[in-house]
Amino acid sequence: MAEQGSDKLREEFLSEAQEIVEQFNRDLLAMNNASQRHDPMGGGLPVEPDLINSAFRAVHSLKGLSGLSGVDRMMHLSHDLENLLDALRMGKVQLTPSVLDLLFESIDHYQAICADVAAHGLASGAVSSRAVDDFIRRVNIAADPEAARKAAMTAAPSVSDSPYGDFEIDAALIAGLTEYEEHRLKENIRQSRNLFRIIGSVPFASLEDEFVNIRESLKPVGEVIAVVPAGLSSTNPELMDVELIFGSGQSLNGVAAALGASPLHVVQVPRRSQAAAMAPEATGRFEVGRNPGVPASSQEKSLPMIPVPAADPLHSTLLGGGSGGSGGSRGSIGGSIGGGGEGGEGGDEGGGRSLTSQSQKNFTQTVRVDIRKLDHLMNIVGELALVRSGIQGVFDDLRRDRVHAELARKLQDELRRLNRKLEDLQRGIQEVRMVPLSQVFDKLHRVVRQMSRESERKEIQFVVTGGDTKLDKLMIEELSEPMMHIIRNAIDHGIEDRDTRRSRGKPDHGTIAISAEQRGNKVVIEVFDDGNGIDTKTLVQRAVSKGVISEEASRSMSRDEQINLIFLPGLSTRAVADQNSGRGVGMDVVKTKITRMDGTINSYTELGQGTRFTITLPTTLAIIKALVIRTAGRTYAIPLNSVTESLMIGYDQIKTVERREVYILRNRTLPLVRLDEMFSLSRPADQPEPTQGYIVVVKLAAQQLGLLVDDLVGQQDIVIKSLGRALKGIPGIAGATELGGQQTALVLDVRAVAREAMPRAGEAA
Amino acid sequence: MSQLASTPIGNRAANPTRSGSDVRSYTDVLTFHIGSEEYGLSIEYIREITKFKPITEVPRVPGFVSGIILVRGQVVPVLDLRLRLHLPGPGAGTRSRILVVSRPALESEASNEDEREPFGLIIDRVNHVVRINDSDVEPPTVLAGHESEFVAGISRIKLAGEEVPKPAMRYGPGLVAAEQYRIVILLDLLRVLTFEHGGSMRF
Repeated sequence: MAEQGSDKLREEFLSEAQEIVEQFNRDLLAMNNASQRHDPMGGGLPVEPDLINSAFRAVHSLKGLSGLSGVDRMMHLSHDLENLLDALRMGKVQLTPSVLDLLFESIDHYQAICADVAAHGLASGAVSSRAVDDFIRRVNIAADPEAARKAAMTAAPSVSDSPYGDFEIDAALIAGLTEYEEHRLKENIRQSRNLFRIIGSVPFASLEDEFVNIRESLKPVGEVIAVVPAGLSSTNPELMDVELIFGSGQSLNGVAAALGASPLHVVQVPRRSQAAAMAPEATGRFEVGRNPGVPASSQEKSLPMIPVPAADPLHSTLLGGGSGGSGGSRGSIGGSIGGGGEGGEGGDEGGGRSLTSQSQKNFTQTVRVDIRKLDHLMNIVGELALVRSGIQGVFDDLRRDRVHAELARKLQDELRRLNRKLEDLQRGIQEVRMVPLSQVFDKLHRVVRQMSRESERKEIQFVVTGGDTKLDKLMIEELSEPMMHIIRNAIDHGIEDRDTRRSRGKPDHGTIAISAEQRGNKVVIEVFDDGNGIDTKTLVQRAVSKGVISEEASRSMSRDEQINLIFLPGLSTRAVADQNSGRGVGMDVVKTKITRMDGTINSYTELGQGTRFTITLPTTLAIIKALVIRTAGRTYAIPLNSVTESLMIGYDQIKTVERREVYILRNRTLPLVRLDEMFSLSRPADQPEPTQGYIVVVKLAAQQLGLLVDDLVGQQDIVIKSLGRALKGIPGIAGATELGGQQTALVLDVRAVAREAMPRAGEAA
Repeated sequence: MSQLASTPIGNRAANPTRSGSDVRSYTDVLTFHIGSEEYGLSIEYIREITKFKPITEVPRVPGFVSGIILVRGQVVPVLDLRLRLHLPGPGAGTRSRILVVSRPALESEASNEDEREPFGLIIDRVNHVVRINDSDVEPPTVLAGHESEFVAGISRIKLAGEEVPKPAMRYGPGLVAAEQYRIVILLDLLRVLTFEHGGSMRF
């Protein structure tokens, strides 16, 4: 029982940790993308405050989670990463490519710890490891502001002597800002943005909504640097005076336009030179803690005030406790805006709580489910289908009996209804198993980044579209490796180095574009690179010299066929581009993997222009376990869910009852069927009749049947492919499957085989 | 069987864009050999030509169904065209090829290439693509027996260049006309691909 409990804890820890690590990864990728848009010459990379904050929150959550679960190694790692991210947030440390590398590396450590916990339990995560300790040391060096400052001195030489430039800013205001807000203020000034005050009164009752709206409308034009504590309106106790400090590259008009129909108005904070020329009342100087009032200035854009709605009495009572102090109201604003504000005294409770309950409500819309539970449900659906065909059998008997014709008709109607519902159920479960392809694409993104960082002479832009396209979870896992191969090949052999690209008139940075979309019940994934393309001439020569195709065949090949030669074993792109051989993996492996998922892969290439791979996959996939057997030289797969056991026998142990072959298994008579006879499979004349073989015991309802075969090959996960319209419905054959190594086998329909062998089984049961 | 009725080559009458005022009065045909005879199929049905590869035998099907192969992950039933056409001769050899074709659309279907299932046809040897004028096609009524069941038409192809026998050398002066053509048998692909097996008889 204790074992089970800890297993459950481990599962919960892992699924939650993985989710957060994924989020962290996404934040880092976004940070990386944001940094690529800028010229890296100017010292540190630009910092998107939202992204750093989100990354910080992710690491913070990981710290809390691992602390709670006793995974100390992760807790220490998170603690020190948190320091680094905090230093970044505060601008004490600059975001440089090497810091970004360090952050990306942490993902690997997180994943390693998760893998360890998955394999050896939570306790294994408590032990420290050399690798993580070393990493933590490096993180701490990076997070040390002293060292970072030295680096920054050389990197970013020009910061104006006054941190606030030529803005008129009240010292009292600075004192009232948190360290982070102060840093953001300086940062905005450093980027020579304009500063604005956004002032006004909003109804207490709809405070949170108002702030969300204001934030949303302002986000495109700049950054809300701080929310300055104001207080209840002196004129109307149901209104709250607020003031935001806002930084933007836009002019006053631009910000006012973005604010739209908000009950707030904007005032630009003047620079010293302008301020001198203007009346002091018009300057809109920052004032702290007091009602800023409404400056009567020609420069201000006053926006229409919306009428104040009557406050909800219940709500105002709840908030009543907080109406006393401005400290409380400040907390309330902080809470509603950032979700991370440190306010917490007295009166903010009401506002804070309603926000929290809102987000909790959102969380309960989704449930995390172990994939094995879904597999189990899927199996039950499969068994239900078996039961249904049992009923079908009863119906067939009933129909032959004229007396019950009316009953039979009714039963048929019900059967049809049952069928439809079973299909709905199956589809429903399949849908639950679907996850977005971005899970694979994010991983690829990281590989691309890593590889292009490693390579001095290649720059790569990675473009992803359609990451929200969904596929079965199992396929997503299977897809990761072949996609990785394709991407690595594209970088190693596809994208040329900078000099070659220049000489070909291409942009310096190569592009790898991945797109996914659903078409009917298929998902089409395209991977395109604008690199060198595949040299089909060399490829064909290569194929001929290796004896893969004949000289004659090579001449009659279409261009498509030539390109698709790369999918043959021994003819990988590496073989063609062997002067720059890398870790290119045979495309035949990629193809095998895709084919095994019942998918197809094709490529199109233009020498010097690029290559495009098109992968088509079914959206859902039914993988089953099967027992692979051989008889009379043919290979068949038997679905394992209908097999109860298999045993080796000498054929002299076979008895006959009424000329039918049987075997006595644990005092029960087991009827036997020779598969080769049933399917009329001829044995080569020179091959002697076997004297021994295997019985594969299969079950049908309460009955058992032994299939006599020559040899057992083993168990394997298979995907059943339909035989297509022309061959549909061959009794005893459910479909075909690819076993790997270019081998194809038929899959037995055990139920049909058993029915045929024991036509009276239904009556006996 | 009325739905199987098709025009001399393929199913062009079913496609209104190409019928009527004879926008095109010829067909590009891939010709191939089975034994000594030369057959042809409109190239619009040809998906690809593959080397002979191991075929997975399928039980309980007519003898001319050799089995299945997988082409890019898709199951493709393979027919031995020699057996299908009741022709004598040895089985598949090293020069044999599998012609992967698309089943022609029935009149009731939209002719969407991707949706129509592929079939493999075992043949002895691929020859070439030739353009055949509709006016050079005769109806199959000139034939009798087994084979005519699958024949859409008989076409004469005028020999060109070095193919033309030097009449003076072979026959002597004056004996020319009849020998300047070769005969290509155009197959009715839909009929070739339509068959029943043990399973399809079930009700």
